[in-house]
Amino acid sequence: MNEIGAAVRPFVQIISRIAWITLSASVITGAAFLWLGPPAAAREYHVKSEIGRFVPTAGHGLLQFGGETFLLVLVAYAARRWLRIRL
Amino acid sequence: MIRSSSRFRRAAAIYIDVALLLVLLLLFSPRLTGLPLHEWLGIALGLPLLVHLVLSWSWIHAATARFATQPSGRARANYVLNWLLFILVVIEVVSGSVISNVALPAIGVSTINDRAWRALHNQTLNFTLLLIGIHVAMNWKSFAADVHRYFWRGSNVRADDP
Repeated sequence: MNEIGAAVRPFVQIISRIAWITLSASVITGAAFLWLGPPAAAREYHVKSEIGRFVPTAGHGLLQFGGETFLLVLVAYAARRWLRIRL
Repeated sequence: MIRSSSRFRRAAAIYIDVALLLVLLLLFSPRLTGLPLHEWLGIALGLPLLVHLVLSWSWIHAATARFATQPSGRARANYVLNWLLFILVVIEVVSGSVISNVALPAIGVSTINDRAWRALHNQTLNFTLLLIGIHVAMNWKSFAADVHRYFWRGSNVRADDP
């Protein structure tokens, strides 16, 4: 019985951690729904084709990816170097 | 045995962290991925995020327990920052799912491209990027050391390495 208990324990631990994370995410989701309400047809955003707007192109895509990566590196660098944000 | 399990966990954690960072950067670039991949990646983000949190659980547990009595302001700020980041990522994924054009309709869930949810999705994005940058900066020392150990030195790392 003890052996079974010892074998099962890590799985129970992982499931309990996942349950806590799911619970926290559900609370945040609930708060967002309470704040904005469920999606409504009256507030629908009309756009010709959302998929068409984001058709991937190598030039635009790589530029955006490079730009976002640069921004992230800049924030991390500025935070560490100039704002001295570190543990 | 305990040592090798902890080593495995640490190696898994760094691979997950790098994958998470890459997925997040791809999510910030819908013009590279296109909308369908953007949406599926956003939903799939949940898995590495879950693993990242489960692997960091001992820190989460300890930091939560000593939050009120924490003498270091930096450690407390780091804890709050991590919570804010979690909240923003959850909001990003949820609002993205609500206004989904491809992924949710593909599995039979009808959605509405609601203006308010769309604004929430787009505005949260900037703060998420900012907090990810600060999160990386905060944990840079251990992140860079682990990347160096597991990516650069790779298989040369000995089992008895500290």
